[in-house]
Amino acid sequence: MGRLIARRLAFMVFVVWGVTLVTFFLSRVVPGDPAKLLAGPKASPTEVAHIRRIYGLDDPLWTQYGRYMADLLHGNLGVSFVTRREVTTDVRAFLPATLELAGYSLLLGFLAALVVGTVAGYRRGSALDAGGRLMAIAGLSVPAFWLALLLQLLLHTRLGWFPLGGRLDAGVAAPPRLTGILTLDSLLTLHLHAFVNALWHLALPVLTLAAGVFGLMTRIVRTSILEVVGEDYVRTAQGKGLTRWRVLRRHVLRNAMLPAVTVLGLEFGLLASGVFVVEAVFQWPGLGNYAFQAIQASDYNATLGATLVIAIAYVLTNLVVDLAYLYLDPRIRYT
Amino acid sequence: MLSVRDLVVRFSTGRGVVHAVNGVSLDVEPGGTLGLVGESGSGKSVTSLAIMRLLPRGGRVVSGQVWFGGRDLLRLSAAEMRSVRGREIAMILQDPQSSLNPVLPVGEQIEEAIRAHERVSRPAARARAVELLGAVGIARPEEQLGRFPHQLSGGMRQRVMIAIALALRPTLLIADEPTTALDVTVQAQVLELLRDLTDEVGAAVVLISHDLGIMARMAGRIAVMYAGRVVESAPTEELFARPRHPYTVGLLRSIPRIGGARRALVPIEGSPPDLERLPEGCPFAPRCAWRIEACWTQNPSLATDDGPAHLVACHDPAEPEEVGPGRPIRPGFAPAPPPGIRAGVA
Repeated sequence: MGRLIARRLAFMVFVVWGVTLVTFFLSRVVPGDPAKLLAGPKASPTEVAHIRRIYGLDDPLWTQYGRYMADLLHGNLGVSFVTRREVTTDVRAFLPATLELAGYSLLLGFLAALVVGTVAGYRRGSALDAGGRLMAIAGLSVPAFWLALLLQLLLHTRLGWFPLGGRLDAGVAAPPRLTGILTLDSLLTLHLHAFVNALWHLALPVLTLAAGVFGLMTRIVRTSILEVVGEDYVRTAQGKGLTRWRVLRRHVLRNAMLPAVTVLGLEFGLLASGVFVVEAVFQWPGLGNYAFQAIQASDYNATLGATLVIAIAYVLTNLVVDLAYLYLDPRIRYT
Repeated sequence: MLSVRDLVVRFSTGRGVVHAVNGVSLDVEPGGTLGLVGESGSGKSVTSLAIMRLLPRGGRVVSGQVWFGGRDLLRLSAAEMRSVRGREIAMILQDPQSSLNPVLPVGEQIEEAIRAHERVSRPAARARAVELLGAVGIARPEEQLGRFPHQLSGGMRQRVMIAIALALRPTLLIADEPTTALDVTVQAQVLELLRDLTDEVGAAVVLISHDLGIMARMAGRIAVMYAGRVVESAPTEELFARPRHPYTVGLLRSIPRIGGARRALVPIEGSPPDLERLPEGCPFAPRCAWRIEACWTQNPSLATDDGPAHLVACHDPAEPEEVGPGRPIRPGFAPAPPPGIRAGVA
């Protein structure tokens, strides 16, 4: 197991390098001049040239890339042109909000898919199955931005049940920052009012992102339940006189989970792209929103930094998934 | 102790209805071993699964009774049936590779069988599991508890299955082709173990196999199945010595004998009927050399013949002197042609 982790972490170095290479050159090819934006609309060409020189933007691209990589090796992601702060500081400020959003979405989508997929698989061909499959297809095919707007329109504008966006109401004091994950911080410091308020703000964006997770996962769970239910070992388990619940839990689900866990890693990739849209629509102060604004402003360092963090998170998530798989499937553990 | 009466099982598939079991009646004596023989699709496994009420998706019992311990199992509630499974009737499936859960240690799979029916602590169930693994001939049983099925050989896995099946000393064991997936050398060991342990526990056995050699060694009585029905049933020696049903005669002629007189193996010509469209008369008639006119129109029922223990379902059973040649030896006899053809000739 230690070897697997070491190998994956070594692999991560190459992933990060690849991501920097692609993102760095791609972001500079795209039209847009940060020096002009920084200098302001009334700046003279000399002023713009001056700014360009200060930030090293007039050097050849390879020189700029070399300088960026040298900084990166020291853990320095450079300074954002827009916020004028270290990108690492910005990431630290915005990442927890995204983690909170993505974490709850993954959890909700996965659990809902487990229930619906299992019921659909057990009652194949029934109305429940048809309903479950319809929900799955809807979850997969409805675009996040559309669902987000629809939820806002219905549950905020019409019914007024949920807030439009943000993480907390203006009047609610944020709990002391421990992790930056509001629901966790407020629970740890017993700010229950903030906790409830944070959950309330999470509801719509989480629902939007969870729909996609749910769609793909339900289909996977249903298919693998169908497969496992017909296996001989399930009949053996029934033949022992076990209760239906025990057969489901220890024999059917335990095996049907394996493909579902594999897909969980891929789901994270889907989620990462959904986060950009959802954070923009719900004014969620997360990394997706940060990156979105950075791209619009040709804020090279911020774009690159945010992309890097997401790439690293993707690799780490898949490492965790592999470790979970190792735990769940002894056939892999002992070979 | 087990008495199956007129069991009818059908499967609904996308295309139509499969008549898998069409009126099977069987009796198993306490402590006895009944062998169920027949080719694939003859309804052996479906009959056993219907007894356990574990038919796969699409299958249902249309009619019949399964009497066991004074109750009709088909009328029990789900909870009552659950208390029968594993405790009174246990089951061993064909392929030990797929019949153990790949992600649970074998120890847990034995323990859960015990704990499904008895209120015992985990350590106590564990101790019983160790004892059982020892009883089925697995060396260093304590060390094996934590192992997973893929770490064991096929023979070991089937021993684990036997341990699970006999954990609660059931009165009936259904073994569906228990050695088919094993090496020939291991087959003999597992069969011997199965016989010794069921003798010790006093369990009756329904042994399903298409291997007549295994049947000769294990079964006290054999029931031959064809197209979802029992066509002949007799004590083992009697069946081998005096088969009456033409299908049984064909089966016996198709097995090789080591050291016997050199003779060609004779396959049974033709193929079994389509279970979605069973013929009106005897389903074996199209393949039968003994058939008479009635065979095309009436399906014969199982009746005594040659003494009360020998049952056969046939309008024109084979005579003892006809078994060797494998065809009727009567002057002027010819198998009756199908009714349609005869009409065409006339």
